[in-house]
Amino acid sequence: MELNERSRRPLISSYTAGKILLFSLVIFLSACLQSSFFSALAVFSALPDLVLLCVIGIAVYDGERSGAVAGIFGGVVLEAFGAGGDIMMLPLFYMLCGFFFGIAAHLLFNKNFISWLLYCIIGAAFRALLSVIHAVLIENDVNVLLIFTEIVIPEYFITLLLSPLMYMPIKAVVRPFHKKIEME
Amino acid sequence: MGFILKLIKSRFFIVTLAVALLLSIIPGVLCAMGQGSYVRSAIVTVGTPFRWAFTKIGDGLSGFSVYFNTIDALRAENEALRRELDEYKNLVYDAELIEEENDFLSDYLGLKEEHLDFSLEDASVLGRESTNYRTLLTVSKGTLHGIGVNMPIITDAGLVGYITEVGATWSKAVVLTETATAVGGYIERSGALGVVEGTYELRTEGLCRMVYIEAESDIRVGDKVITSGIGGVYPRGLLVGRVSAIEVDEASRTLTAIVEPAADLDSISKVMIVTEYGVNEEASDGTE
Repeated sequence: MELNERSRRPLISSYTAGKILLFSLVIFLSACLQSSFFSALAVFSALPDLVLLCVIGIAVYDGERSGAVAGIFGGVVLEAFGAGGDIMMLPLFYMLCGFFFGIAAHLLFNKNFISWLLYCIIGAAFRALLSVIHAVLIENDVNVLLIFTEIVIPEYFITLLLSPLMYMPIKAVVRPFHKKIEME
Repeated sequence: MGFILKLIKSRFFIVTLAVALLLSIIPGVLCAMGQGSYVRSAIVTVGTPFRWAFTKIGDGLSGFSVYFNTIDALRAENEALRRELDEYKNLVYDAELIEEENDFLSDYLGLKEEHLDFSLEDASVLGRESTNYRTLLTVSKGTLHGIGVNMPIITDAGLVGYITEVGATWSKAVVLTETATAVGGYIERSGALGVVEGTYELRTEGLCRMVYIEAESDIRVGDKVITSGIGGVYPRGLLVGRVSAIEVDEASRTLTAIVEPAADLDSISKVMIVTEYGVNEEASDGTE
């Protein structure tokens, strides 16, 4: 009898399904924007990391579990679009960002624009570090100065420049699912 | 330490870490083996229309921003085009000068053919010094070109004046409306003789007069006045001008004709200096 009841219960609730669908859509569209729109526009000849901003937003407002899953999905999508390269390990990077920023949001600051911006600054710095490591690994003759001036610094600043613009849309998407941080 | 222990004990963290690691490594391994992942290709397929649309929008905005980014290049191009335009304007100006010179040389050739006994030297008018009392033309030829004092200067239209002062590469000439000139002339139609001279009153109007014409002479308004060659400074047969009015001088019982010079003395830019002509007689001061 109990088994029958359990089998009738859906695997995930419609609430969770809606959340996953909405978050996935946001991340997917962000990845599309990042790899097409901004690629064509080439502001400062660099691409902003919109997926990172989305993952941090979800982590800050919906907790580390949502952030981690959103991070994995964002990394997979970006790698599929060819944004990361085969050794960037973007799913792992975004998953770690989502998870730890989610925890940090719970432990250190409230859920507000300032804390979100602070995590964006830290996250973009880690992303820059990842870009440097990636460039060092794939380039034979590494010109660190060139990597910094041509890739890392423009990428860092354009990401931070766009972060205030991304705040409200991300908050609006995540707001219906606001909840307390899961980790006890 | 407690936080790390919590992390290690967290099933969710371990599972997501493992999944993330696998999803990070597997696509790379598959690519290295030359095989694409179905998930990857599905994501790309789904994303293609969105990315196409976003790219189109980005391209549109990029084209718009390129306008601003390339404004410096456009300015430079504009400058270059302006310079080119200036060069073309100079070329047109040069062409006009050449055309003018060509016309002048054609006239010069016509004069040469008309007066085969003339030796002509062409010159440009460099300046016009005008005072209350007389106007002097400065022309571009001097002693180095064989120019001497009292040589007549003419245009294809007619007589202009004569040389009064000569430098190495320049000369000064006085025009026939000035008081310093006197030219022996005759009425072409009737052959009536007289002397063409300038006066203070008439010079301001650009006119001169022909005096000492016998009272019985046949002379009419519009008659051509031609140099007679008497006196030796001016050769015979050069057009001086046309009679515009006739006055009777009761005291001397002669006629005076007001002559309008044939050459446009106010705006001449090119002249010809008659360095030699058939009858070369000595003359002291251009007054015949």
